[in-house]
Amino acid sequence: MSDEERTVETLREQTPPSVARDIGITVVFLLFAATFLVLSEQFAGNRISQYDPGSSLWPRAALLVIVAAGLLNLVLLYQRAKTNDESVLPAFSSEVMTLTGKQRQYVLAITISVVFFLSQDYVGFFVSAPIFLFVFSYAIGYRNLVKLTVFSIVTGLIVFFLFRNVVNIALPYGTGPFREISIWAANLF
Amino acid sequence: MIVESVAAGAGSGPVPLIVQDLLAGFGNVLTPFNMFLFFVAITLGMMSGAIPGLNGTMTVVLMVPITYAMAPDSGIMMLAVIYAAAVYAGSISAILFKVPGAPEAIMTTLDGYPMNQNGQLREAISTAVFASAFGGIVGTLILIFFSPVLAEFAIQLSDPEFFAVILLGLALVSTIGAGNITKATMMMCFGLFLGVFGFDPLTGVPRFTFGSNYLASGIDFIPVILGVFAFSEVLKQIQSGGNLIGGGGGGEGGGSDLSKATSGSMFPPLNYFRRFGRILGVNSVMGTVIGVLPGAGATTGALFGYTFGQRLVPKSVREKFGTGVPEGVAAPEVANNAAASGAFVPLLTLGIPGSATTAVILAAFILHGIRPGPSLISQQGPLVYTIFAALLLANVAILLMNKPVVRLFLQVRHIPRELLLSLIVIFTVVGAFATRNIMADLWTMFLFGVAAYYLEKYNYSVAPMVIGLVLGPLAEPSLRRSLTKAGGDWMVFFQRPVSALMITLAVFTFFIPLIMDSTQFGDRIRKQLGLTELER
Repeated sequence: MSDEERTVETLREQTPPSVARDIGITVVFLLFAATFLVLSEQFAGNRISQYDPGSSLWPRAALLVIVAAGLLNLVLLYQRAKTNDESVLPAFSSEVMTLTGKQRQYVLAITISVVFFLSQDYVGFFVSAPIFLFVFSYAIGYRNLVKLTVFSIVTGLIVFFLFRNVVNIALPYGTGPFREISIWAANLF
Repeated sequence: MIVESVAAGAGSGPVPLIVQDLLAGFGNVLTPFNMFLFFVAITLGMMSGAIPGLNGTMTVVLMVPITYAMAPDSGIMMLAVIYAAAVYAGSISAILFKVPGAPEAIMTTLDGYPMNQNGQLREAISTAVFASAFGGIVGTLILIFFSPVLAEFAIQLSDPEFFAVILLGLALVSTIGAGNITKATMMMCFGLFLGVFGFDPLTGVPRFTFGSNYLASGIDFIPVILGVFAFSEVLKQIQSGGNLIGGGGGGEGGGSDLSKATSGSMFPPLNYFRRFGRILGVNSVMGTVIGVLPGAGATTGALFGYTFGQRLVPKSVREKFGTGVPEGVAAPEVANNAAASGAFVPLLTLGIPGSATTAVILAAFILHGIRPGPSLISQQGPLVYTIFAALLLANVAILLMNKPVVRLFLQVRHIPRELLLSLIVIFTVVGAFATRNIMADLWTMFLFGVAAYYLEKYNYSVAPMVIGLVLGPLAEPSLRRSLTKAGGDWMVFFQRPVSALMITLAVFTFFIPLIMDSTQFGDRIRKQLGLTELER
């Protein structure tokens, strides 16, 4: 990490979390609760007897408390923003658009994870796990390629055989040739 | 082989007779074959507890067929020891990597991992181990001496009491969320709501499933836990460039605290005993009682243990919970191990399993042609006292085996940070998938991991959400069954003494700290409002 990046990182750590984003999170919770409160209406009649309060009581109770607590939180956050003279809109500034080295690694890590999860249905765990271990570790900064290759293959195999052959958990096999490879590997032991 | 000196009908006998039976139980465990099984069980239990994706229940399930070839006392003893060891071992990965190895270790991550990050790894692990062993031993002693009384108590409890106890657990969130009660309440209720997806527990009608088979099966809490604790921590470490293991570990060589962790005493520092002495005493009894409640189990015990622990310490310590205090490690660990022992009470005396694992052990009893119930202790005394003795020995063994086990786990400090992080992602993936073999659980884990990373940044604590998700599915059916049986009369919760007491306690537990700390609470609000002393 360069000195400049380190300075940006330090400054970012010292910056208190934005009130606007905090408000945004609470608003998301409020919208979520409001939507499901409306949806819960359809379950009001589901009951096992006339004395059963029905399927909608419990979810509604939880959602109503979310709404109450969320509104209270909004008031507190608004007051805090007002008193601290924090402007709401500038908080959604371009700060996030400038990616530091660590942030790039973070975005890459998420992307690689998503690809890994998506590949499970098609490629299967046996083939995708070593590739994931290699690519993920490389993306977040490990550069010894020989050790990384050995680590990825050995770890992938151990995890696969431990869970598939020892504790009998069928990790995803994938489809087509990948499935054949996974089944062949599982039957080795 | 069973040592035959056990007195017949000892279950209802005086204390000396119980001790005599217990000694015979020890004699039975200490036979060479049973000792071999005992060590196999301890090893398997620790492995299954410490590795995310495996858990005690799964290992017990896998071992049940093997026990068929054994004598009932040997087989069931082995299953009981696996259970006890797995409950303890979940704390190791929770402290080292913020990855709860088993659901019982959820609350241990809250202070155990920060202790590790603060360079107090040895203290965190020794506290967890000692508290686990203490809770397990007290729980087992209560099991041995008070099983009939507790069974009598358990059989009188009905849905109103069960709901009231859960309500008390939910009310305790006011302590966990002391930093921001509105956010904590929101998160807890969000967790409660997540628990309603899927089939209605009473009518069987699908709720909020939107035609999805995945949502119909409900949101399982294990992928959520792995996401909010483990995956979010990986993202945090990538962004911050920090180390998973504090005190200089997690990379090349390791620091001084790590060498202390491998060479130091198996006991926590002496001054810690003064700090969490009360927690050990109260939570071991409370954990056992929680374990006695059918369906509660060690995870619920840990949730209660953590929040009860906060109530038992001075305000100055309470405010530091979640930042890495030994009390926050001892409280859930003592309670979950005590609850694991407590779960054997309804199993052995009523034939009702107190948790998922004891349900599997019940199956093992039946496989061997034994039906647990009120007459089990008198009819199968040697078997029961062999289990009791094995549970006691297992907790002592946990203490003794702590050092080699931790030394083994600490070898990971030689693994470069990048490889360790990728390995944790692999284990969270396997852990999320292994429970139900559903691909969508991976996405649940991922979404909750990313969400938790941002939520925690803005002080939306994920612990109340996890508490809500675990306790919600237990609370709703109890509430509705209570009202159905009472003809819709809400007063049912106040007409029964235990539930009335619990609900009153819940109300006080939620509001009293706010009132008692009114100055501080007021200060907090004023601080949030940004008002100065002058403006007041």
